[in-house]
Amino acid sequence: MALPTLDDLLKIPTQDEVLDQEVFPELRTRGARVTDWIVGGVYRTMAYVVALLRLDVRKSIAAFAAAGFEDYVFGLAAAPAGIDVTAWAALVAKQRYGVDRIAATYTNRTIRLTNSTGTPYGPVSAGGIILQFTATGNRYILDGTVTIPASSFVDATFRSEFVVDSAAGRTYNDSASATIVLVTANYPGVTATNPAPTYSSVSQAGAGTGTVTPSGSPSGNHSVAVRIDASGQVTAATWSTSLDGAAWVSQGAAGSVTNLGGFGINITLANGASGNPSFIAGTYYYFSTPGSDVTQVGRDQETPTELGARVRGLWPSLAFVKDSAGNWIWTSPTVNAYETLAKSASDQVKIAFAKTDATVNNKVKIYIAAQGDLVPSGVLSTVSAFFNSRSMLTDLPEVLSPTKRTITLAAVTVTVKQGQLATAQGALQTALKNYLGGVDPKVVLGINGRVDRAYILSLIRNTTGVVKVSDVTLTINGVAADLQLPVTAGAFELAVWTQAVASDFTWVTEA
Amino acid sequence: MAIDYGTDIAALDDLPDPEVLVSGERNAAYAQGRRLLTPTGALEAIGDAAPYDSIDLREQLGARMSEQDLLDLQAQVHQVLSQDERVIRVEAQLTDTGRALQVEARHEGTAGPFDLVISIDSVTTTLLKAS
Repeated sequence: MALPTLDDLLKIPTQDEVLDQEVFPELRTRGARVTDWIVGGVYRTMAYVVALLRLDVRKSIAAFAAAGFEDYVFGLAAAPAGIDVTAWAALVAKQRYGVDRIAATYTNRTIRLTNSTGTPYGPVSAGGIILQFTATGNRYILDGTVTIPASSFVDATFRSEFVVDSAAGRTYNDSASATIVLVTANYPGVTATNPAPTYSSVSQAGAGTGTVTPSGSPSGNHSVAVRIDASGQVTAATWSTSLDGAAWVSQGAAGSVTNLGGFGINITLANGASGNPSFIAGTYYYFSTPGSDVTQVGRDQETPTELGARVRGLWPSLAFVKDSAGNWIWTSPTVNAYETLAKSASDQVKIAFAKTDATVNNKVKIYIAAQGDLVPSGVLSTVSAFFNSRSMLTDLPEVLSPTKRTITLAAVTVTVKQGQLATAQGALQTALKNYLGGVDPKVVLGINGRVDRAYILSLIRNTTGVVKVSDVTLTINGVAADLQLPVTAGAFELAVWTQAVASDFTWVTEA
Repeated sequence: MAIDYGTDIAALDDLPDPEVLVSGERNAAYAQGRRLLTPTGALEAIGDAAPYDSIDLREQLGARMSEQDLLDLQAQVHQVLSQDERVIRVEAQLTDTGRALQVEARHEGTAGPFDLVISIDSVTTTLLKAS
């Protein structure tokens, strides 16, 4: 008997096909003497039960066969007959590549609790305070013990109520300086705010006790990297800066620089309290402006497709091999592998974009971003340190942050069935946030991606309840056409969208 | 032309071991008996989508039934027994003995008359007459 082909194994017949092609012929072969095949007959009923059991076995065979092919497991190709084996993705990634699936995480924020009364509160345990951002309805929960002093304030870490789940509409990209109310009513006189500092904290990747301090009154969204080129104390050490991921600009041995890039950013270097030299060549310092109240950008659970792309990128350095002394074995990964490594270095890295430098042969620029936002500067240094520790003798990887490019959709009128307005607005808000936040699995919008006007229109038009959309007038950042990032030539830009469709779009209802 | 009632396994609520076949009027009576022991929709649940009216009288055991309830149930039994394509006409009577439900049904079938008397208690189902 010929062995079944892969097509045979992957085919799931109907129950009637099993009856006609397998059960009844077998009964004939065995000479069954039954002639009553009217519904309710014993043999007929048993034949259906056998066919049902056989069908379950065929489903299991098909699922097991499909699970042997990673394209099916990671959702990179659709398995036949609607077989969905993507639930195997985490197991396959772990067993074959030694890689764990990245779980969904919370968004953490620093919230300022101001007490206008003369009575302190606390210590308040984790979970003791629940806040709500009124614009989005998102709720956050106190994530540690805190005491709110009398007639003063304290900065406390709050985490989102749930982990991020974009498909379920659970995103926590709330803006800074938002309106926040306390859900827990136990603290009269206490108000909550989330001001964004002028600068993020400065994160350091590498050795050295020297410090880098930003100051001034900058304009716009910018990320800055400082690289120490030659070791020394202040005014002896030479250093360079990279603004918004652009080329490095030498600052010589200056002790400070003012008005960097014409954006009002000042940087001052200071020696450490101990150690000489304070600044060590190869050390990187990262910060961005404006700073953010977000200390951890939450993310979705890694999709099977994302996991598949990440583990396959590991082929050049499978399972992060180390030598007997615990050191990384040196490698020169592919561009895909760089992106994989960046995403593996920190769970907060949702988007990675690697590009070889145009002028320096061995330099690889790796731009990373979180889900719908930039990564905190601490993540930049973590990822940078991860690459630095891998002893890439022939490559010089640099980890950088892209620049935010705010996306504004305008001049759009949506006609919706009466009674479905709220549902449509909620669904569209989620769909657009997913796409413009780079987590729409159908059309992934990455760094320097193209904001696809036609796709946006299709998202609007396909929202349940929507019967018409003004497809001619919709503009993206003022123009009725696709928006190709970067807008600023040579930059690396990440789309950021914070509009509310309910108020920013024009809605018309019809019966 | 009379239609043969066919041959099937002689089974009501369990399979005989060893297998016993039954034919003719007795097979038709067994088939009618199974209609009274099969929960509604049970065959559809295993994929047999052909129309099949049935009732599981065991579910009625122990229920407190008024005279009207009993008449209603008898009407259901009559309805169920009328659905077999081999049955032209049927007269069914349902009796509640307190410990068992007993159905006596006289059929005029496409291949001649046949009778069914079945008694259902909490432990067993007994075919008292199938001819």
